[in-house]
Amino acid sequence: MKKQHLLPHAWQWVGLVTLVIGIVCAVYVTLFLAKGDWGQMNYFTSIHELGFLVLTPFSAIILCFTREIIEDERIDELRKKSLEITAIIFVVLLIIGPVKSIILSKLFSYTTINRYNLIWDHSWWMLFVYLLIFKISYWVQNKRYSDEK
Amino acid sequence: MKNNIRVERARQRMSQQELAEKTGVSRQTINAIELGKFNPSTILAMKMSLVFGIPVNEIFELEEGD
Repeated sequence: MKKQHLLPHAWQWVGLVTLVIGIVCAVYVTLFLAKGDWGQMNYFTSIHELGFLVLTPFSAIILCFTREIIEDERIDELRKKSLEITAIIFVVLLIIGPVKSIILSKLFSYTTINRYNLIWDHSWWMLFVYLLIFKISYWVQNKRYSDEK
Repeated sequence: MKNNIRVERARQRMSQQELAEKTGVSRQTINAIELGKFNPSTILAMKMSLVFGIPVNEIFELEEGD
């Protein structure tokens, strides 16, 4: 039997709790930055930034690498397909990245772009993209195949 | 790929849940295989063959275009 290097299912709770704390910190950071004080702000100046920048990717890693209740080969294939779609999205974002930067620099001020970068310009968001694609397809498939016909 | 899992289950009076437990997959996976939406691995096909007590080629058949 093929060995799967995934965390036990119970770890999903650890992932969810850290995600919620991370989101709370992200909301706080966003609201704080929305006051327009971004120019003077640095990373790791408050516990909220630290919470957002450490807990959110940590929760994403845990949630991505945690087993489902029954982790069989159909789920394995679903994981591979989700990873494939995420990789395509990542490459597309890499390609349009410079274009996006040029457009943003023409449209917004330096501080606004920095604010955008703090929240969105992290490659670990791709873990959430993977998670979203995987969880939605998992839910849709389980719902579709749950009726014994 | 066509399969006769439903027929074999009915013949042996076995539910999808029972087959799933015996082969170590979820009931939804068994349903997906029965509906032809998911092709099982060789290992899973062999396990089904053991559970039903018949050769693999009597459970699964290649279709034209496979």
